[in-house]
Amino acid sequence: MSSRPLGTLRVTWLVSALALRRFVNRFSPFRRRARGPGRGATPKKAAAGKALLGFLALLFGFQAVTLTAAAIERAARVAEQSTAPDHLFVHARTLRNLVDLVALGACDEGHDPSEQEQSKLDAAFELEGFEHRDRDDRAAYRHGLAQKFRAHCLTPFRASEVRGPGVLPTPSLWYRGAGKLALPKALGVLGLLLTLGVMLQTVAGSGRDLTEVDQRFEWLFAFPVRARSLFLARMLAMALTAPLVWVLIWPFYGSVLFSAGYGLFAVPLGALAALYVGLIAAAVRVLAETTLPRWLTSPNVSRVQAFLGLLGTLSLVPAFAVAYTPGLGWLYDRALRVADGWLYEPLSVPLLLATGGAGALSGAALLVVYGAVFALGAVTVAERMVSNGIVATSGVDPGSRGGPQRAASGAFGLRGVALKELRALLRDRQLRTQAFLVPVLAIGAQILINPSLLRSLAGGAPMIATAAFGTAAFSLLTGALNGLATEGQALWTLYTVPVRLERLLLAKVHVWVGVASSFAVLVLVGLLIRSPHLVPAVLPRVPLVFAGVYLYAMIGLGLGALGTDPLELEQRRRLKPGAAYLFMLLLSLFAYSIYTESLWPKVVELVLSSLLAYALWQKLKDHLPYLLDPTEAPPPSIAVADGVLAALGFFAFQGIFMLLFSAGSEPSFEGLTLAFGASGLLVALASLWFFARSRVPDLMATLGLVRPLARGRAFELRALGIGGLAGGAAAVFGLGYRSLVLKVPMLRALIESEPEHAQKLDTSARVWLTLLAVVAAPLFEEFVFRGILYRGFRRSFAAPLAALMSAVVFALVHPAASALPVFCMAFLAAVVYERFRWLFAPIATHVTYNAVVVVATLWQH
Amino acid sequence: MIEVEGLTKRYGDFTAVDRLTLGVRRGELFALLGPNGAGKTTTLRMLLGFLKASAGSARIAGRDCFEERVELKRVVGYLPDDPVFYDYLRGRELIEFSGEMHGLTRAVIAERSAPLVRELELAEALEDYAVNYSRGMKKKLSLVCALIHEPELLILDEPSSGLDPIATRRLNQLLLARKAAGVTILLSSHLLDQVEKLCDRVAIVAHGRLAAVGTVEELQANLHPGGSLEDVFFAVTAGGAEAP
Repeated sequence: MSSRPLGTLRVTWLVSALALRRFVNRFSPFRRRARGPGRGATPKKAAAGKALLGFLALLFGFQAVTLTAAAIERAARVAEQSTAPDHLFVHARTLRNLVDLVALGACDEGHDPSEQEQSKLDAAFELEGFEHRDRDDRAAYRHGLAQKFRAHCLTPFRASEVRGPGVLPTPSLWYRGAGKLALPKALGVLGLLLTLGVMLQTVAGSGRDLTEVDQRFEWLFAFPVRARSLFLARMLAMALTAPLVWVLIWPFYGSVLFSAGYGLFAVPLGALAALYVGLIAAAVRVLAETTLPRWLTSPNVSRVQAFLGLLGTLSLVPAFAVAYTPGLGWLYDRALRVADGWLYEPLSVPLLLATGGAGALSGAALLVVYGAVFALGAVTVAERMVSNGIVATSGVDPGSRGGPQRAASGAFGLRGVALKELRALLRDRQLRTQAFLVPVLAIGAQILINPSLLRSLAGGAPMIATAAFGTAAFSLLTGALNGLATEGQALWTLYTVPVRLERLLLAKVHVWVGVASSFAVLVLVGLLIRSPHLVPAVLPRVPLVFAGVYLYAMIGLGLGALGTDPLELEQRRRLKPGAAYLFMLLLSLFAYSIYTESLWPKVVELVLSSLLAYALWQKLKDHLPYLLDPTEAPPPSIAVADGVLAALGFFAFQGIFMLLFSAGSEPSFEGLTLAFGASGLLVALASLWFFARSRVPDLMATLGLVRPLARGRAFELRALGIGGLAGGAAAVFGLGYRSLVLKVPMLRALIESEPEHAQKLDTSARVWLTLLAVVAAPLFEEFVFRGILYRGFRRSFAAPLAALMSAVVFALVHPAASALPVFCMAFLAAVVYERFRWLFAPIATHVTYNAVVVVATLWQH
Repeated sequence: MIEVEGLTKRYGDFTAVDRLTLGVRRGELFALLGPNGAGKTTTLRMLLGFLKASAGSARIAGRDCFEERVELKRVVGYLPDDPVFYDYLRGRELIEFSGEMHGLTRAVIAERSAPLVRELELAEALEDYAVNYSRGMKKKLSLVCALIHEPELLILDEPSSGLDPIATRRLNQLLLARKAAGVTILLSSHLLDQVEKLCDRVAIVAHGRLAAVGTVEELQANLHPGGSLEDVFFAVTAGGAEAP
C-alpha cells in the first residue's frame, strides 16, 4: 500500500478521460455490445438525433464565424476612419461612380439636378450604408452622402481599403493602416462580451443548482486523492466539454486569427484560445460552487444563480448587437482609443495573438501564465473551502414552508395535474424564468438590437396580432414542448392512477394555454394602448391568435412528448432538439397566416394545424402506454400522421420532379403529368415499403388494394358501378356549381385564371391534362387520401366524421374556387370506400368525376 | 387475485423474466424472493402495466395487466423500490395529488392520510419538498400515497429497503393489519427474515425463472429438510447469483 496519494497529473488525466469518455459514449452512434452471454445494456428504442445535434453545432459555429466577420469589418472601417477623421471612406466602386458623375458635371450645388441626374446620384451610392438595416434609414444616409458630394465634390471621399462585405473572414478585411493593436483593441468589445457570456453560462447556466454537490463529484472524494487534484481535473474536464466554448469562442478566435493572416494555423491557435477561455470560466464556476454556499444561505445562492443565469441567457444578445446593430460604431471607436494595456487583461489577452510578431509571443506567454494563475488560484481557494468537508445542502431550494392552513385550498380551485403543473411553474426557479421572464426579455432584446421594431410592431393590425401570437408562442416553446420532459423520473406516478395519461397531458395543455394566452393578452393590450385606432382592425384577427395558442399548445405538447425520451436520466437531454426546431418552424408558419391579409391561407393553416394537432395526439395515444418500457413499441397501424406525411411528400416530390423534367425549358403539361405520376408512384411505393417494414398486419387488405376475401367478380362490378355513379353525381353538382359561380363576377375571376379554362391549349396539352385528370390523379390521390389518410381517421372516428375530415383536407389542397365540388366528390369517395373496403371503388368515383369535368371544360368545342 | 402465466420479458438479447407462472390468492401476503437482478422488479412492473410482456400473460382480478392498466389502478396500490418525486412539491401536496388522481375529495384525503402519517411519523416533514427527503422518508411518503385510495391489492417493491428498524416494524404491522382487512399483498424482497415472519407463501426467482414456490414450511420440507429459509434460498439460487 503506497502512502502517497496519486499525483495531480495522474488524477487530472483519469478524471478528464472519464468525462471525455462519458461525452463520447453519449454522442457515439455506435453502441458497444458485450461479448458472450451476460447482461448487456438494455437497447433503446431509437438512437436518432445525434446527427442533428452535430448539424446544429455546425450551424451555430458557422453563425459565430459570420458574426465575427461582420464585427471585423466594422472594426476595420472604424479603424480606417480614425486615420483620417475628416474624410469619408466609401467603397472603391462608389468612388469610381462619383468620378463618372463628376465628368457629367453633377457636383454643383447651384443647379437643381434633373430627375435623371438625381437617380444616377442615388445609384452611385448603392453600395453604401448597409449597416442601416431599416430601408428609410439607409435611404436617408445615402441622401446625406449625395448632399456632401454635391457640396464638396470628390474632396471628402476616399476609397476604402477594407474589402467588404464581411460575410466570411478573409485577410482582406484586416486593416493594418491604424497600427498593429488597432483591430485587436476594437474587437475587444465583442471578445469581452462573448467571453463573459460563456463564463456566465458556465457558472450559472447549467441545469444543476450551485448549492447541490454533484453526486459524481462527491463520489470522487471517496478516493484517496487530494482535493486539489480533483478540482483541477474537474476544471479541465469542464473546459473540454463546455459546448459554448467550442461552438462560439473557438470560431471567434479562429476567424480573428485567420483574418489576421495566420492561415490554417488559425484553427489550432483558436482552439488554444478557446481552451484558455474555457479554463477561466471553469475556474470561476469552481470558485462559485465552493465559496457561495459558505457565504450565503441556500435560498440566496439560488437567487444569485438565477440572476447570473438570466444574464447568461441574455449575454449573447449584446454580442449580436455589437456586430450587427447600426449606430454602435462609437463603441468600436471608443475601444480604439483605450490604452494599449487593456489588451493585456486576462479576458482580452488571446486577442494579442492577432497582432503578430513579438506581441503575439508575449500574448501566448501571458495565456499560459494567466491560465496557470487562475487555475491554481481557484484550486487553492476551493481546497481551503472544502477543508471541512463538502457543503451538502443537496436537492432543491427548500423554499418557505407552507403552512397547514394553506392546505385546504388549491390555487384557483385547480386540482390534480393542472395544480401540480402550476405549482411547479410558480416554484421552480428555472421553469419560472423560462416561462415568464425569457419571453419578455427576448422581445426586449430584439427591440434593443433593432430599435425600429417597436415602431413597426405597433404600426399595423397584422403586426400587432402576430406579435401577440409570437410572444405566446415563445412561452409555449419553453413550456408546452417540455410537458412530458419535465415529468422526468417521477413519470411513474402518473402510471399508478386510474386516469388515462392523455387526459393528464391535456390538463397540462390547459395550464400552458392559460400562461401563453395571458402573454398574448398583455401584448395585445400593450400595443393597442399605443395605437388605439387599430382596435377594429386587430379584433378580427384575435380569434385566430387564441385558436392558434390552443392548437399549438396541443401540437407543442404532442411533438415534445413524441420527441422525448423519458428514460434519459439527464433532464436537458430528454427532449430531442429536432422537436424544438420543428415546432419553431410550424409556429412561424402559423404566425405568417395571422400576418397575411388574404383569408384562404388562414383557413388552410387553421385546418392543417388542427389536422396536425389531431394526428400528433393520435400517435401520442399509441405511444403513451409504452413510455416506461425501453424496448416495446406500439403495434403497427396506419395513422393520420402517416397520411399527412404521405400527402406532404406527394406535393414536395411533384415540385422536385417538375424541376427535373422541365430543366431549362418552360414548364409544360407533359412535364406536369409526368412529375405527378412519378411522385405518386414514389410515394405509393415508399408508403408500402414503410408499412410493410413496420409490419402492419394484412397490409394489402387494410389499404383496400386487394378485393375482400370471398368476394367475386360480381362484387367488383358492383363496387365499380356504384363508385362511378357517385362520381357522376358529384360531377353533376360540380358543373352546376361552376355555372353558378361563373355568374358571380368576383368568383368568376378565380375560375378564369385556372389553366384548364385556357381554351387556347393545343391538342397535346389537352391530351396530357386529360391523362393527368383521368388516370394519374385518381390512382395516386385515392391511395394517399382514402387509402392512408381516411384509414388513419377511421381508427378513431365513426365513418361519417372520418369521411368529412378526409374530404376537408382533400378540398384544401385544391384551388379555392373548386374546393366545394371537390369536397363533395371526396366525401362520396370516402363513403364508397367505407362501403366496399376496396380502393378501386373510390378510384372509379374519382375517374368519373374528373372525366366529366375535363370533357365539359377542356373538350367542349 | 393475480394470475401470471408464461410471463416473459426480453430486452433485446437479454431475458429478464423467463416463462414465469404463478398465482396469488385473494387476501394472501405473497413474497417474490430472489437475488439482485433476478427479475423481481421487472415482474412487478409488468403487473402494473409499466412494461409490456414479450410473451405470456399477467392478469389481476381477471383483467389484463397491460391492456386494462388504467382501470386496474383503481384497485392497485404501488410502492416503488426507489420512489422519485416531482421537484418543488411538498409531501402533503403529493399525498393530495395522489388522492385527487383517484377522485377523492380533500376532506377524505385528510381523513385517510392522518392516521397513516401519524403511524409512519411523517407529520414533521409534510411541509418540506419531497425531493429533499431521505430515502426512508420517501418510501414512507410513497406508502401513504399508495394506500390513500384503499386498494384491494398492494404491490410493494422492496418495501423495507431504506427503512430503519423501527419503521420496518411499523411497516410490518401495517401490512398485517391490511391483510387482516382482506387486502392482497404482493411484495418483492431479498430480506429473508421479513419474508419468513410475514408471508403466507413465497416464490423464489433466480435468473428470471421460478425456482420454487410454496409456504415457507413447504419449501423447507421439500428443498432443504431441517434447514432455514436461508438454506433453501442458497440451495435454489446457487449458481453464480450474488448473495443478498
